Amino acid sequence: MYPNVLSDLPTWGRPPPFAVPPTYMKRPNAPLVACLLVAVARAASAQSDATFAPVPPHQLTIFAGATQSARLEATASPRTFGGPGISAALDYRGTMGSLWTVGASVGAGYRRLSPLDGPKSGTQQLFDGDVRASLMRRLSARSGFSVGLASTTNYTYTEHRYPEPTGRVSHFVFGATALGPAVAYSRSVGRGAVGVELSSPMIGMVSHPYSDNRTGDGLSRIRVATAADLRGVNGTLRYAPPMKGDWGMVYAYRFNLLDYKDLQPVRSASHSLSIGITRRLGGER
Amino acid sequence: MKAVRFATIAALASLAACGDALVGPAASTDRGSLFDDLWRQVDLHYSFFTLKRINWDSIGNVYRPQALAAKSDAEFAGVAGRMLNELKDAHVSITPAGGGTIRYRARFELEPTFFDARRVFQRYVAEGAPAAGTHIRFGKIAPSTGYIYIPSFLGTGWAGEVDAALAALGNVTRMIVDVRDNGGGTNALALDIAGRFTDRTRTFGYMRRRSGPGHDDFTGFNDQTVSPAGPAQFTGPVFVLSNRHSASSSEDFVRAMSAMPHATIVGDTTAGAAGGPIVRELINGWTYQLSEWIEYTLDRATFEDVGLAPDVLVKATAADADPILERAIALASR
Repeated sequence: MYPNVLSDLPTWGRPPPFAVPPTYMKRPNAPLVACLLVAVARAASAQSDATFAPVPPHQLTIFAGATQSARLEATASPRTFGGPGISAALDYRGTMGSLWTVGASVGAGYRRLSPLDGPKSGTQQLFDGDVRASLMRRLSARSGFSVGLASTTNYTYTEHRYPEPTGRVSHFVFGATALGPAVAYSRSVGRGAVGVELSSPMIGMVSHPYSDNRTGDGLSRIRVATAADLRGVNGTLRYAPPMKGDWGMVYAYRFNLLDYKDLQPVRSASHSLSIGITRRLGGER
Repeated sequence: MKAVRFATIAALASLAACGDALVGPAASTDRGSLFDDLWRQVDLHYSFFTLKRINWDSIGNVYRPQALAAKSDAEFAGVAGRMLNELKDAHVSITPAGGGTIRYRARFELEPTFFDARRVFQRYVAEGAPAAGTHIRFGKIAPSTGYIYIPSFLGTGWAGEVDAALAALGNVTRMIVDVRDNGGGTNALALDIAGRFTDRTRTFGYMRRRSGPGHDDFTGFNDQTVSPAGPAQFTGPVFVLSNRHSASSSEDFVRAMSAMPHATIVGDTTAGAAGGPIVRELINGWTYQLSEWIEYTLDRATFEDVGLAPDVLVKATAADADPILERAIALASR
């Protein structure tokens, strides 16, 4: 899905004593954020007569979906791995007054990846989980445009099987908690609603051990990361058809980009399509 | 209609940005890139640069032109192997696709040990028999003395064979555990087996891992411990037989047993392979292994290239007898 994604490794650590032309990774988030923000802002400004999509006081949704991702965990391998996976999430949204919206979700996923670079030997299995929370404020009571803060905590456990004949299995972990700005836009479409959400980390804490995971080796470390070393974008495009009573469906397309700048960087790009069953817990029908 | 237009614009903008940002240049597998990646990863992770006084920069300078001049993968593998051999470390190797591991032959590996397991079972073990599995052999050397031979610690999950052996040996009061010519394997397994001989958790040494790009960047001293394992533990006098080919995880086993007051190490000094290996891979799928941590004895001395001295030193000879085992039998009969 993402041929050669994020494959140009940077020069890490001290420079070698021999001349090596430096390579630089393209920063995925900057153009992406710019493009999407422009798209959202244009849409928002063009939709001054947009139909306001009311949010119920409480809404709970269970999602299940399929994921496609590409990932470089340089602590494990210089190769980029990619492949399909599955994900599930429990999502809560609610309103506080006429302007504020809170959101929270807990998700988990499993991915089985194979190399996108070089020979096809070797595999990665990823077990990941995330907890997200957001606090958004509408620009006005009738506006579909919101700004706010979003926090994301994610943890990925990677089981990396090296190519045969070695076939050795090592385990790697990566965890990050980050807080950053978020924007969202929603509006009614017929009797349903469509929404776009974007968030990006500004500051956070990252746990990325220097090498593979072993109990009691004292290698775990947590460092504060700023936007200079922890870059990313989380985005969601969702469509909710008209609800039937308190129940309804939600279709969501999500993408996540992460670039953790380290001696041994972690970069990942994933997108998923999910279907959710939602239950309205209050408000007008 | 406007909504559809909006969604389409957003999706297209997203996809366009993704396409531009995510599709980078193809991963480079030219020999220069492969060599540089290998050199850097060793530079970032290898644990014995300072201890072995290795100038890795200089070694890189020497071998890089040779790697660039290599006319085939096999020739390149040879250059990479020779570069890694400069580390003079039994835990360091490179395995090109298709096999054919290139590794350093340590000095201890060239020394004869005169150990012959078949001779032991023919001449000394009265009731020699294989265990329920295939990883160990055991029997009785005397009515009160059991003997367990562990040729390797490779693999996982077979420590229960030692439980079966201990149960089958019944009421012996002395035990000889033979790890001569045992080149190691999985240290967790070695410690699991050592746990069959301890009544409580004991610290037997320390380890430090590389924790940063500097050659002296290490974690602190982390305790290495052995804890009781298995349904029952043998806590009578134990005599552990070692020699110059007892290496790596086998040395973990010897150190763990040394921490037990009822254990005596008999034989020759061990190999001195004190590095803990990790596996990595190159972009072309070749794998390599290197020492990433250093193990220490209880007095915080490393035994890399030195080995662990036994409590009772006995040198093997080319003669037909087995002086190490005979000394252990004599000690056990006291």
